[in-house]
Amino acid sequence: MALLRQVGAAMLTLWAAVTLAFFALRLLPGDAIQAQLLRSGASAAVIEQRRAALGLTDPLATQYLHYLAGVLRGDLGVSLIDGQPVAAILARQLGPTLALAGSALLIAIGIGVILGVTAAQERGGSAVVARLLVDLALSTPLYWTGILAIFVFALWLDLLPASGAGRLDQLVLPAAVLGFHTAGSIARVTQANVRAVMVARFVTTARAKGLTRAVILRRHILRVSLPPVLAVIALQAGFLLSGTVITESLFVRPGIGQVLLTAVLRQDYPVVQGVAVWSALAYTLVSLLADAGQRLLDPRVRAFR
Amino acid sequence: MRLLLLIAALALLAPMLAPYDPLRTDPAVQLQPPGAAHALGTDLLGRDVFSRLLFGAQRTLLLAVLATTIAVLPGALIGLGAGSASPNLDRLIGVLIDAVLAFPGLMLALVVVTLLGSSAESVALATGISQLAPVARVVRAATISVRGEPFIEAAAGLGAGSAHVISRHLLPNIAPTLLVYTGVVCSYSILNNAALSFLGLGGVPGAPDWGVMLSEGRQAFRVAPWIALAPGVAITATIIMLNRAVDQLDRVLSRR
Repeated sequence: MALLRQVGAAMLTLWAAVTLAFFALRLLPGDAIQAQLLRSGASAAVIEQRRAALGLTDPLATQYLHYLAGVLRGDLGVSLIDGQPVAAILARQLGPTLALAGSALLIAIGIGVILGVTAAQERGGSAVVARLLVDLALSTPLYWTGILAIFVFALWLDLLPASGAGRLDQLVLPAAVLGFHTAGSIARVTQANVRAVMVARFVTTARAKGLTRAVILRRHILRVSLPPVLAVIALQAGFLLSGTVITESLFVRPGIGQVLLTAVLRQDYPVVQGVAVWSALAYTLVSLLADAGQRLLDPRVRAFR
Repeated sequence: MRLLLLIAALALLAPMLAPYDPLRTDPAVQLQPPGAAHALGTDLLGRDVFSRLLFGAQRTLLLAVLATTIAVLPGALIGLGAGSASPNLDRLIGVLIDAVLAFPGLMLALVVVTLLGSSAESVALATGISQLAPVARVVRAATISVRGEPFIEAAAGLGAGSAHVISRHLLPNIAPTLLVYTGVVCSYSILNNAALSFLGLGGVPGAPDWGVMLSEGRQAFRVAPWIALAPGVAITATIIMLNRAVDQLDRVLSRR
C-alpha cells in the first residue's frame, strides 16, 4: 500500500517535471529554426512555414497534449537542427553515459562510505586523514581535479589516455575523478550518521556485551546509519545519469551531458526538453529504488510509515 | 572564519594590492615562471597571474554573494509561505519544488544562462535560480517541523495574526537552519559560477575570473602549470574555508 502511494507520488513528480520543462522552454524567445534560417537569410514566410510544419505554431495546449502523448509512447519529438528523433539521439549517448555514471557511482560509494566511517571515529591518525580527504573531495572543483589528473596520469606519467570513450582504459580517469568528487557528499552524510548512531544506547549495550568493534560497526552501527546515506547516493545517481557536462567536456567523451550542452547552445529546444525528461525519469526511478532499499534495510522506516 | 575574512579583505583591497593591471597584456613577458617581478608568473598574453588572482577574488566573491541572494531570498519566502499556507497549497508547492529538483542544478543554470546571453551577471543569476528550489525545500521542511510546536498554537490561540506568527515565532526558529544553508548555497555558487565560466559562458573572455583563468591555464598546463595552479588552489582554499565556517556556525547555533 505504502509502495503504491510512493509510486503514485513519483508519477506525479515526473508529470510535473515534464510539464514544467515543456512550458519553461516554450517561454524562451527564439528557437534553432529562427536562428538558423535568419542566418542563411531566409524570409519570414519561409521561417513560419518550417515552424508550422513542425507544429510550433499550433496553440500551446495542443502542442502540450501532443508532446505528453508522445512521451508516453517514447516519442520525444525531433531535433530542430537535423530532424533526427530526440529519443534516438539520447539512446545513442546512453551507453557512454551509463558506463561513466555507473563506474563513478561505484567508486563514489566505496570511497565515500569508507571515508565517512573512518572520519566519524573520535581519535586516530586515519580519522584525521579521512576528514582531510572528505574536505578536499567536497571543495575541489571537478574541473580542477580533472585538469590535475590529466596532467599527472596522462601527460606526465603517460599511464592512461586523457580522452575518448569505448575502451576500458579510457574510462579510468574520468570515472575516478567523478567518483572522488561524488564521494564527498556520500562521505559527509555517512560521517554525520555514523557519529550520531555511535552514541546511541544500543551501541553502548553492544559494547557492554563484549562484542568486537568490527562486529558492532557492521551489525549495529552501519545497519542503522546507512539508510539516510542511500538517499544521498540516489540523489547523486540521478545527477550522474542525467549527464555530466563538465567531466564529459574535460575528457572529450560523448554522453548526455555533451548532447545537452550543444543543444542548449544551438537553442535546439526539443533536444534540451528530451534531456530534461530523461533526467526527471532517472531521478524519480532512482529515488523510488532508494526508498525501497531503505525499507529493506531499516525496519524502523517500515514501521513508521 | 578568520581566513575567510582575510580572503574577503584581499578581494576588497585588490586595486591597491595588485602590482599590475589584471587586463594589461605584455608580449615581452609571456609565460614567465613565478619570480621576483611576477610573484605567480605570467600567462600566455603576459598578464600578471597574481594581479588577476586578486581581482578574480573580488569578482568571484561578488558574483557568489549575488547568486546566493538570488537563491536565498525568494527561496526562503517560497518555503516559508508554503510551510505556513493551507495544506492544499502547501502540497501543490511541494510537488512543484520536487519537480524542479528532478533537474540537476547545472542543467537549469545552463538553460538560464543561454536565455540571458553569456555575461558575468547572467552566470550569477543562473546559479542563483538553479538553487531556488533546494532552498525552498529546506526552508519548507524547517517550517513544517516548527509549525506543529505548542508555542505556535499558543500564539495563534492568543489571537496573534498569521503575519505576526510568521515573523515573530516561525522565522526566528528556522533562522539557524536558513543561515547554515545560506553558507552551503554560497559555496555551491562559487563552484557553479566558476564551472559556467569554465565552459565559456561567463562573457568577456579575458576577464580576471578564476573559472576563466582555469580554462585558459588548462591549455598551457604542460609548459606553464602556474597559470591554472593559482586559481585552482584559490577556489579549493576558499571553499574549504567557507565549509569550515559553515560547520562552526552550525555547531554554535545548534548548541544554543
